[in-house]
Amino acid sequence: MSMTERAPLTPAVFHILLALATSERHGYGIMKQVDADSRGKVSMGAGTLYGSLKRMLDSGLVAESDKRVDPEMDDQRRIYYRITDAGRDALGAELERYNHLVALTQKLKLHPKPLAYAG
Amino acid sequence: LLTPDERDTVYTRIYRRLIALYPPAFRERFGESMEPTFLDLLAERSVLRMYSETAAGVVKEHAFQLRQKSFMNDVITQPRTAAVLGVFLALPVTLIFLIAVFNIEPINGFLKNLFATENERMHILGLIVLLISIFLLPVACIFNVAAIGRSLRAGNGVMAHPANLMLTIGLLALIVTLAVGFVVDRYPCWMGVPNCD
Repeated sequence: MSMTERAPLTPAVFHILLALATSERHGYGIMKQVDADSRGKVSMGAGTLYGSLKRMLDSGLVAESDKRVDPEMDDQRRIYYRITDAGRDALGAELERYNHLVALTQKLKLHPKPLAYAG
Repeated sequence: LLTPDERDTVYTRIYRRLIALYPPAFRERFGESMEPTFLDLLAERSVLRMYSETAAGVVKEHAFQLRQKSFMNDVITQPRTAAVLGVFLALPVTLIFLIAVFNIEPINGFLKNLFATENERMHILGLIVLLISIFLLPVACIFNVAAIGRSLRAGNGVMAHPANLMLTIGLLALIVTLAVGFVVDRYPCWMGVPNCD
């Protein structure tokens, strides 16, 4: 199956993969990164985050990291997550799909003004 | 009034109660790590918002688990399961029909007694058996039509699942035959013909 033949990711899964693409993070860290990546437009609830993480762990898109924080510095109960190779493939395929759509809308001149996210 | 620490403890205690409502497997896997996330978010979001988000998550996880386990979902998504179930659901009427047509004794005699009418009324047990048997036919038909519909939506051809197709046609034919037979049998009575039974 080529990258473009994958089913589109849900917004929550996409943002979590994007947040984990640069670093291993715990739940709250993922939420903060999603908030920053989307410029505050996506505010994920704990229910959505952990529900999505469960399904992503089950499907192998993310994995629990071995990273543990210093108990003196932070809460030991935190679990860090990392993106897997399958997760990177899925993220790549989704970004390819977005690129294709952006190229298409530019070709069709559907957004004469620069996109809100651009720049 | 509560101090900030006491307030957090009360909020956390309520949050723990909410987490306890998650399905056990989910709770064991994420319950502990959800608590520090909750405490971090407490400084940024209203506690009511977090409770409602978590409550929605609880409902969503239970619904997801139900969907995963759902036999009905399996019947509709798996054409083979729908076909096998369809055969079983259609079996009672088919057997009754075949036994009556081929006059298979002694079962036919037993069925005649079961479905015999007295003063134009069928015995209650016979009526229940007959109604349930007949009701199972459209149910079997719906399962198979749904399986075919799902397969078509997935881009497969109409002949992708011939067993479901044949079964659906057979069931529809049987339902139409029974309906027409019933109308033909009862029509004189509806017209007011005396001793029509």
